[in-house]
Order: sequence, then C-alpha cells, then structure tokens
Amino acid sequence: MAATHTHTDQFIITGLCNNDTRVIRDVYKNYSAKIYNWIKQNNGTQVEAEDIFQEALMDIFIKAKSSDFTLTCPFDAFLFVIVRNKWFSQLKFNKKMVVTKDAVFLSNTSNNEMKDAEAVIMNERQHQLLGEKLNELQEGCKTLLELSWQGLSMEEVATKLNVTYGYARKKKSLCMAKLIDSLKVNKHIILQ
Amino acid sequence: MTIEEKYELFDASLEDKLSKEETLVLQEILKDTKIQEEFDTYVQIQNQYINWQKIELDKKVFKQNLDAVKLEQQDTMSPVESDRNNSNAIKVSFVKKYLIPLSAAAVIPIGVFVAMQTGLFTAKQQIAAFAPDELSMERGMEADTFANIVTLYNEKKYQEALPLIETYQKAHPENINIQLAKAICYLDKKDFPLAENELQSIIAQNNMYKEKAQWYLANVYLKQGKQEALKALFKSISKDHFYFTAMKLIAR
Repeated sequence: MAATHTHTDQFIITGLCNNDTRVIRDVYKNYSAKIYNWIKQNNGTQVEAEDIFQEALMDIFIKAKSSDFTLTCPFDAFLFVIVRNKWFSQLKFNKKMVVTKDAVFLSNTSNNEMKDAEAVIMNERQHQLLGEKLNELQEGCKTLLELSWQGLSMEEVATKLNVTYGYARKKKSLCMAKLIDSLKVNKHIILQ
Repeated sequence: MTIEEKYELFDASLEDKLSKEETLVLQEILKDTKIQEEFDTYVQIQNQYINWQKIELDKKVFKQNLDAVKLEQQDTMSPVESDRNNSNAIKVSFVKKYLIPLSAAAVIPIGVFVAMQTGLFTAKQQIAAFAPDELSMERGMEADTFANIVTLYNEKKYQEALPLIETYQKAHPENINIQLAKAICYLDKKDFPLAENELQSIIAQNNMYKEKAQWYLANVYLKQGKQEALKALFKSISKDHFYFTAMKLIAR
C-alpha cells in the first residue's frame, strides 16, 4: 500500500483555494484544451466541455475550502478523474449513454488518483445536497436560518425579521427540525 | 418533549442563552445517548450549513474569476492554436505522460463495457482515441493482468475473472472498484455470504460506491429470500440513487 504524501502539485490546489488568478490562468492554459478534446471525442460539444471543465474546478475549489485537502497524485491525473466522472454522469443524465443498473465500470486509475477525486466528488454531492434541502424549505424558514448562520444572535435575527425573540427561537427550532428530517436519508453523505 | 422543544434547548445552549432551569433540563436529557446523538447531529448539521453559506459566497467570486480567465484565454488564442486545440492533436507531454495511459486504462474498459451494454459507444471508437499500447508500456505486467481481468469481466466471464481479481485485489486493497467487481463475481457464483461480506465492507467505507454496493446487497438478499433485510436496506437507500425503484419494490 503506497504511503500517503503531499504531491508537489499541491500548490495548484492552494492557488485555486485562494482564487489566485495566476494559478487559474495556468490551469486553463495547461489543461483545458486536452480536457475539451477528450469530452468532444466522447459525444460532447465544445460548450459542454467548457462547462464540465469549469464545474470540475469549482468542485476542487469547494473541497479545498471545506476542509484541509491534500493532493497525493499529479494534478492533471486527478483533474481528469473528476472530469471523467462528471462527464459520464452527465451522459447518463442526458440519456446519451444508457448506464444500466448493473453497470460497474472497471478502471485502472491509481488508488491515490481515485481517493483524491472521490473526496472531491463526495464533497460536491454533500454541498449540492445541503443547498437543495435548504431550498426546499419555505422562504420564511430559509431566511431565518440563513440569518442565524451568518453569526447574528437570535435577538438580532428577531429584530431584522421584525418578530419577537421568542417567536424567532421557536420558528428556528421548527425549521431546523424540518431541515434535519429532510436530510435524514442522506445523513451518511452530510456527516462525512 | 417534542423534537422542536429539544431543538430550542439545543440552540439556546449553543448560544449560551439557557436559564439555570433549562440548563438542568438539558443536562438531564443529554444523559440519554439517543438525545446526545441528536444533539451532536444538530451541531454538526448547523456547522455544515455555516460553512456551506461561507463557501457559497466565495464560490460566486471564484466563478467570476474563472469566467474572466476563460474569456482571456479565448481572446489570446490565435486561430492556429484554436484549430490545434480543437483537433485531435494530443501531443503535449502532459497528455503523453498521464492522460493517455490514464484514459486508456480507464476509458477502454468503460467503452468496452458500455458498448456491450448499450451499443452506443463501440470499443473501436474508444480505443481509437487513445493508444492502447501506451497502457502496457506505462504499466507493464500489471497492466496485462488488469487488461485480462477487464476483458473477462466485461465479457461476463465472472468465474474466470474471479481468481485474477482476488489476486489483484490483494495487491490493491484500496481499489474499491475492484472490490465491487469481486462481490459481483461472488454473487454470480451464488456464493452469497462472501458477496455480502464484500458489499458490507464497501458500504461501511461510505464512499462513492456505497449506493451501488447497496443495490447489489439487495440482490444478495433477494436471491436468498431475506425479505426483512431487503426492506430494511431499501428504506436506508439514499434518495438520489435507487430510492424510488426501491420504494416501488417495497410497495409490491
């Protein structure tokens, strides 16, 4: 079993996490064309390829922002695994490719590449799920929760919403109960 | 005590707004391990959302930067470069070093498999995009073994693939994809206890293969007539995967 160590390409992750334009520029310059070509060779259009490339970078950014993320493989290989995963998911979604229930693909991607990419993919699912479930709440609940998560005290939240402190407190517990209940089935994803 | 009342207490305690009486009540109810778990979940989910909200704001700024760089790249790209990038010219060292072997290793089996399953992508199309001989040059003997596994597995010759998979997995215990393939081979062999062991192990690892493993585990239960285990499993399946199919099956 290979020992886990930080790859020298970690600086790219740090750069993306810091929204460093120089790093983003280099990433586009060095990797975008090849990724675009690969997607186009696999039933994609130029626009789809550009979107997938950008979404993959967004996913990496979210992961790097969410927790300490250590890259243990070359960035290009890691990026490619994420792109490939996203693209096959999209093909499946668009029904351009029928992936049957028992479709289990074998690939010879190295363990490190797979592990790093998997961390990003799972994190993206988690992030997306949190957003989806929050958006399913009624607007009043959503606003109250968002305000309370911004670091405001419940008194301040109550003042902003022009309601009493007691009401705001009670309402928050009701909204949290709804939210947590809706996340119950996906608890394993949320509480990674 | 209703769940909302509990949450009100949890939230007030996190804000340090509990009265003495409420503090005593909270301390008392937290002695119950189930409520302690609920409290931990509450805190974790709230923290996840606080973090999520911060990232959502950063994400917008990052996206703007990505869009700006993308435009900049398009503007600076000469027509010749643009043409080259849009063609199949995979000549740059990055591609040679990583993308070709990686893609060949990954995409050829996927292509072969999908072609067999769907007829949409032919293996020829996939292989044409990547040089297959680069795979063996880069990965040597291991690639031969793996290619053999992939061929046998994708041709559904599970019993022939199984011994090779078992050997390969010993050297690569972290490869969950292979572990899942192994479980499927056991399932095909009707060796249900071994299939179940492998699938349970994948599920316990909570990774991206979890849902697929759950689906196969359901097959294992179904083939053994374990109705109760099957129902319990279906109820635990994540909503964005096989949930709806699972619910339909429960209803039957």
